[in-house]
Amino acid sequence: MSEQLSLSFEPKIEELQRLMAEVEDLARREEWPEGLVFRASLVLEEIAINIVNHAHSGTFDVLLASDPEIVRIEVVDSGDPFNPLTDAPPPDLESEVGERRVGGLGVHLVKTMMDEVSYDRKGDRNHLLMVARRNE
Amino acid sequence: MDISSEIREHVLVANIGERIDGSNALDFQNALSALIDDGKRDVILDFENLKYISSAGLRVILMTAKSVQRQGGRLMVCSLSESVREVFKISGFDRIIPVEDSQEDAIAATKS
Repeated sequence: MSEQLSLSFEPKIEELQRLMAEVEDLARREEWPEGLVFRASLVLEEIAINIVNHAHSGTFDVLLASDPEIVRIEVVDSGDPFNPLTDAPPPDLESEVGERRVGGLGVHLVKTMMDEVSYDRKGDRNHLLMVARRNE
Repeated sequence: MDISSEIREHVLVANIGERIDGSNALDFQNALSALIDDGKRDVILDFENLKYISSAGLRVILMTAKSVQRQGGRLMVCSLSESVREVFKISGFDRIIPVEDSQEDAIAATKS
């Protein structure tokens, strides 16, 4: 099996459910293992919410490609330049409950849960490419 | 966000729904705040039904852990799926929030 999807979303939180539904439909058709559905949904949500909350972007695009070996997720937005690999604040993973800083976990989850993440600024658009291997 | 709750052996047990994501995290936060509002008590979040949580949900859990601690209680979680457990570990939450296999284990842990 091999399938590619190209989808556009308005930068609104209400779009999240449609994005999640599209990922779950593709996952069902391509018979992704449960853990992969979880990882793909989570990283897409994290990136989409960052765009909605911070990017000042117009419509953003999500390109999904699935084959028996890998899942490839690309998110393209026209917002402010933002490289999550270098520009996101580091998460607080150590402090005790009372002192633990709230937030900053989204990008950390993305970097940890995907097998490859790369960023490129092309023209006036952010391109974030994330790859997950299927068999883990 | 559906949350049902009960008091078991003086511990507040909240059974959490299937998803905590960016679209319902605020409802989740409001529902939890209303539950823990009544003062000093240990709180267990039972994740038996939880299939999905993102950083928006983690944010609420951390803020809830802080509130419960300020009131002199402890927050614990139990019955995590493999994926939810992984998210807890990656986020370093398993170091500050006790993770128990079952509700019974969590209640027993509040007695220790």
